[in-house]
Amino acid sequence: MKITKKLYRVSNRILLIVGGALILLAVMVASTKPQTGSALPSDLSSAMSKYPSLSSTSLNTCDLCHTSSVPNLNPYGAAYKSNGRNTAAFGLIENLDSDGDGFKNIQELNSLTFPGNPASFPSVPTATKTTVPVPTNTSVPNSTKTPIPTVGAPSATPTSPSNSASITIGLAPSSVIVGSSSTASVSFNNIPTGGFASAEFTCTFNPAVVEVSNIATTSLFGTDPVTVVNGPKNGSFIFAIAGSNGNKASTGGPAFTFAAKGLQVGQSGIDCQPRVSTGNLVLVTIPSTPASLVITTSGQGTLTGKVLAGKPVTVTLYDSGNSVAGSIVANVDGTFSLPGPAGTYTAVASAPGYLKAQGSVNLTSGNTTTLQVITLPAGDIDGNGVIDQFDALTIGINYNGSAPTEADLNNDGTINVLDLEILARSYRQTGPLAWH
Amino acid sequence: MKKLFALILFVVVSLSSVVTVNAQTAESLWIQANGTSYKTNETASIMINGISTTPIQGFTAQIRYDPACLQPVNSTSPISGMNGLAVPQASGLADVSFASTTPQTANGVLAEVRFTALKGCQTSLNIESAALVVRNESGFAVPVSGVNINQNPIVLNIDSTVGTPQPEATGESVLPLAPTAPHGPKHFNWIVALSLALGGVLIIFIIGLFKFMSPSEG
Repeated sequence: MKITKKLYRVSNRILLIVGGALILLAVMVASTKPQTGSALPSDLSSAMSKYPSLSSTSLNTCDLCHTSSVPNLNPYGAAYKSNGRNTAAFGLIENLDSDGDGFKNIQELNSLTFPGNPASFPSVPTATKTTVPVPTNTSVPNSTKTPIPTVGAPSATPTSPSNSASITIGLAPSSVIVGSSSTASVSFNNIPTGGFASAEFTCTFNPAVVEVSNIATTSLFGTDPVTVVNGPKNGSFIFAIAGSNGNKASTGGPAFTFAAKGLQVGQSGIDCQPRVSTGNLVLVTIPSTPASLVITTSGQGTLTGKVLAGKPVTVTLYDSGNSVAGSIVANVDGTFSLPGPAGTYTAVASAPGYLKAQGSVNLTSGNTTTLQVITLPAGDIDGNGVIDQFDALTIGINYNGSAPTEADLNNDGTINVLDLEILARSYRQTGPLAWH
Repeated sequence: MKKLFALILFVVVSLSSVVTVNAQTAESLWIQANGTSYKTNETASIMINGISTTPIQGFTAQIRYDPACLQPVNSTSPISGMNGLAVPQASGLADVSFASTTPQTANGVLAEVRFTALKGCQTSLNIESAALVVRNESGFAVPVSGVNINQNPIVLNIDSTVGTPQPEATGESVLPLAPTAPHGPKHFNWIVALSLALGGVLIIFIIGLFKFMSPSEG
């Protein structure tokens, strides 16, 4: 009987150990990530979610945030991690120059270079790297004069990565006919606790197609703020505002407004680069989202939308006679705004080496027609409407070369296996894609 | 009379041979098998042959096969500098493309395509599409025009007797041809974890049951 009891106790303990071990093993297996793919696919997914146009480029790899010795982070990856390691974190670090190569992270992403690698930077100066014309400072009191930053250049101005404040420029309406005006509102978002004591905005626009006037402050900085306006002149102006008697901007909303009058048919980006002070006499740059004003003539409508590709996208309107009625190169983020006379057209989105998208649109006078966001599949190098073996062969016979540029699908200047990898994702797809 | 008949027969055979050779001396592409009989698990080698009067910078061939009988393995080209282009492979169609950055003479075997015999069956393979490729003035790969492509099927007899597979191909450019494997269940880890957890709970339940039914300590 004693032996039976002892055997029972021993088997009881063994079963308890085995059971516990199985549960522990279950927890370990459940927490194991698949071994294939990126070490941290969720981070890369967040990046592609924030920047969909990068999804078919060489930036859609671990190299975006890691050094060659994964899992070591590069400076961009470290900044992303320290800002919360989520989709919003990418927005917070856009205006930093993580790798110190003289280009902001967002500029590098737009140019398809690595923001965490100082050896990778845009090869040609981008439009935003041009120095903003410096207006005369006659109306700016000496005591409040501050250096005007060179947009896009390495910034000597301190930045605050933990600050999620930003500004947005709204246009009402976003499309006007020649001679009429749109009201632009420059608004703060996510003002931190403690508020802003002062702010300075360097605004730019295309003076050939837009005239700016009626720059007016709001009550965001209190009822009696001190303001300084310099310009507008040569397509830019500076608006500075400071709350008086300790007043601060403590909630989001418009800081000032101005009128933008259409001078001729065309399109103008309107941007205001902000720098703010919390009251400690230090100006900090915060991000801004520019707007675009479309100027049309009477009887014209506007087509807008967003087309994503790893190369510059051209949107063209064809009339019923298959003649080109209008064409525009989309912005870096894929958005476009194309004016055209009222009528029915075929809209075609194209990019070198990519399948096209095509759809019928009806433009009506004074109205904006918006097409769905669409991503062009990469790989139709010879432009015959199908991604096939001849496209792959064009990559093969031009390996390590740079021409034809259609074969350089990721736009990095070299035709190689990365382009073949991009092509393989859409192999055998045919076009044009239906665009609604 | 016998001599005359033999002479006529010789002339006929000679002429037919010449006609056959002439058919392949124009720009042409065709496939041929190293053998027609294989055992299960053995490697069947199919040669892509080509003749071109102008140097080429690549070639492509899409070979239709029965995936129930044959499993494509890989392909290599004996032409130095011809590199395989790995593109997604569909089941039932081996997509073989090789490219070179410099023009190459193409006369004879362009590539060897290896298949594993899966089971006892009689099956056939044929070229569905193919091309010899040159680089045009703009840098794009374009097919050589007027190439005679022989699409006649090759018949293979596979015995159910199990044989020995050929050693793995080695070389500077081995083009894998295995069809893209279907993705496994996304929640495989969770299924395993749940099974293990249930097993653990079951064992603890058994222990409890043992205790409940065990003889008293006293």
